Amino acid sequence: MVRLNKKRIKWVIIILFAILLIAISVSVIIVSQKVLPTNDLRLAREALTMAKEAEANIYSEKVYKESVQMYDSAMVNWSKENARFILFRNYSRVINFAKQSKKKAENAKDESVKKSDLLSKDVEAAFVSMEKK
Amino acid sequence: MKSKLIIAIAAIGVAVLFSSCAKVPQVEIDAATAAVQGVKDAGADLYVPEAYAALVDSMKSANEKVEVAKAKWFPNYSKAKALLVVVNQMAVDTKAKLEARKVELKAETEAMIVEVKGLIEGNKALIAKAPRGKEGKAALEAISSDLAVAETTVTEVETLLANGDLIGSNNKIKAAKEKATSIKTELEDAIAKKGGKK
Repeated sequence: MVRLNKKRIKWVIIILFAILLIAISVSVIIVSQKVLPTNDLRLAREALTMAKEAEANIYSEKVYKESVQMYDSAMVNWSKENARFILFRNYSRVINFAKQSKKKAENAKDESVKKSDLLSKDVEAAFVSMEKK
Repeated sequence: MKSKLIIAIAAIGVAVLFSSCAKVPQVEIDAATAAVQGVKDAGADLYVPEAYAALVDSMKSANEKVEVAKAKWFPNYSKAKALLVVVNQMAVDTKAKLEARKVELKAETEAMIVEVKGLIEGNKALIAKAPRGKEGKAALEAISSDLAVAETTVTEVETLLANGDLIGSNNKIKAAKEKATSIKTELEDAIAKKGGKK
């Protein structure tokens, strides 16, 4: 009787261990297939730096601010997702925010370059007209 | 019994290893954030914008590294910690650059104040020598008025400098210097023409 019980316990342990092993394997597969927003955030950050270098914070203030807000939202959401259980994390919103931030930073940079060019032409024209007068 | 003890010790060791790796370097993050904010409050974004932009970018990168580590099964914050140390060092360097720039800007402004004062006095002497014809009188009145403005600007610059507005005072004194120099050139030309006519 005792021998039978020991055998049953042994089998239960083996089955439980097998289930645990399968669960761990499935979790590892699920987690490894999740795409992290690392690259998107790096690209957004670089785009923001380039926009600032083009003085987008002056010539295209609104779009630049929106881009910064998008980047901050991406970081906040990333932190929120990381606080959740690893299997339930979903980085799609974070990636979306990062992509929007990059796009807006690029737009802000282009707009800034155009505006500063236009402004320097206007100033030049004003000087020419003053000289004529 | 012996093997069970070894397994237990190994399990505790692994648990300790993972728990020690898993701690978010919050102290380092807070210290770096405070350092960046301190540098900003001191005016780094105005006086040394390039160094400040690099500092902010590195801080953002460090925050990203923290989140990358958090996203893993067994977080390892060593890379983030190393970057946070770099950020702290960068903050110290930026502060030093900022102080140096402030000293440089103050010295430059003070030197220009002396220069502009000299130019104003010189211009006053030149006005006395300038030709006073019908047109000349009106021109000299306009020049005197410009000189009065330049004198007022110097007083304003001294007040701004005393209040610690280094950029504002520097911009104003530069404009005043330009004006005083152009007046000097104008007066010298007029005097030279007068000399030529004689």
